[in-house]
Amino acid sequence: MSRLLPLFEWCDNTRVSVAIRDSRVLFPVIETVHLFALTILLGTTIVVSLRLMGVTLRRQPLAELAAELAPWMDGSIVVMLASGALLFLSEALKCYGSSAFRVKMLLLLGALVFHVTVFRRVSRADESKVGPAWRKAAGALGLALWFGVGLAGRGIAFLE
Amino acid sequence: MLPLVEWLYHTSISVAIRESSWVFPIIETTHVLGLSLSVGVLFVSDLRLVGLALRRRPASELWGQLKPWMVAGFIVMFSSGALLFWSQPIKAYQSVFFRAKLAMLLLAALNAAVYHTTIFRRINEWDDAPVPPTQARLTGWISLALWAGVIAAGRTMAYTL
Amino acid sequence: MKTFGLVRAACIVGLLAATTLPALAHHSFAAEFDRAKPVKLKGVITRLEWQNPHIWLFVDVTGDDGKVTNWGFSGGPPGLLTRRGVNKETLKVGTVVIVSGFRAKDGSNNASGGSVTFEDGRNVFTGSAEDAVPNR
Repeated sequence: MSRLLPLFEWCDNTRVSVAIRDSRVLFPVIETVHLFALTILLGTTIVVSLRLMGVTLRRQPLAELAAELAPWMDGSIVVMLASGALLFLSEALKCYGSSAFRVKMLLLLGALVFHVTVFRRVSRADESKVGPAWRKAAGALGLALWFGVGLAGRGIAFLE
Repeated sequence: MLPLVEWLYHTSISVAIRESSWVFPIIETTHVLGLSLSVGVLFVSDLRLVGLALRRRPASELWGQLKPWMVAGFIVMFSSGALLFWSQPIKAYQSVFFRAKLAMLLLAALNAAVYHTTIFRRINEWDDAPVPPTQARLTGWISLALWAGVIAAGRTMAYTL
Repeated sequence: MKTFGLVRAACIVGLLAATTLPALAHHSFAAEFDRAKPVKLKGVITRLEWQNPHIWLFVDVTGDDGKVTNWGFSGGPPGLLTRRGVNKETLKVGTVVIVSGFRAKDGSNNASGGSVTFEDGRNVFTGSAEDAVPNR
């Protein structure tokens, strides 16, 4: 991990980093946007995951529901990544020192890979072609990964 | 109000949560992540109300199916919120951001009440309309704006503690 | 329908008016600290708020002109500090300390907590994990 220190130091000193640190409003505004997008991402994830697990909206075709919510899920992921990157740049060295941050990044990587592979395939496929066990697993895994990212993020403030 | 708030501050539960190692972080984390089950799921319902998404789903079905989850979510939010308030009642009471948050929560409830006693009662008339009637859309937009305000006020309040 | 609209409007106006009541905010945005404004001050602890979401340490600092100013230093949450070996007893009222941190962006006499050194040379770190910038 200490081999990444130069990278974190570089991130800590970009013009964007300095600009956010110098401003009194930028960090709070960016963090609030991060919170908005988090609410939308986790909210849409809950709805689609519950449908995947066959718990709610069972009369609505899964593929259509997932497709209609996709712009909002994908859009909120983009906003999370963008706002998250800005927050990170403004305090890269502080993040370096946080074990919760590292766990968050690992889970985020997992969630993103899951999102563009398993999730996309299972949620958009014809329901008759995919066994319910796969759907339930996909629903559960999505919830676990994304809420895991959220939990780890909260851990940054409370853990060493 | 202030004497009541000061009394709350000195109760043993208030002290216990305020000085805790794990309890406060767990309650606060529940409150932040609980936003997804409450406001996040409501967001999906509001998207239908304003006609921006899920236009082919009957509005009443979306509401009916998601309502129990939202209710659970809001129970979590009000419980965790009450405990957070109990732990720092004086600072919360004196915070203009907290007062703004409460005001917007009340307005959101009012918005929902007006909707449910009027246009919602005629939902059969517009259930399948991809773009709901003006009053329904207005309700949706007001809801989105107020909840964004609640989140922003809550986050800003935390900066002042 | 019209009555509902009026009731709604009246409530909105009323509640907005209520929220503009002046509030006593001890620290407004003091959680925003400036890395370009490091401070290192010596003084006597006057108060410790051992509270979530983060502690506040208050220190009476005597300037060169003899004037005493009370500074507030914010720190990490109680749980984090306890696990690090710092507790209420470590920061007793009346103790002489040298505290280092970064000054609040609003220029107030508040700073983010960091290093606290006692007269016997002992040193503890009272900042949150995010306040720990690694030394090369």
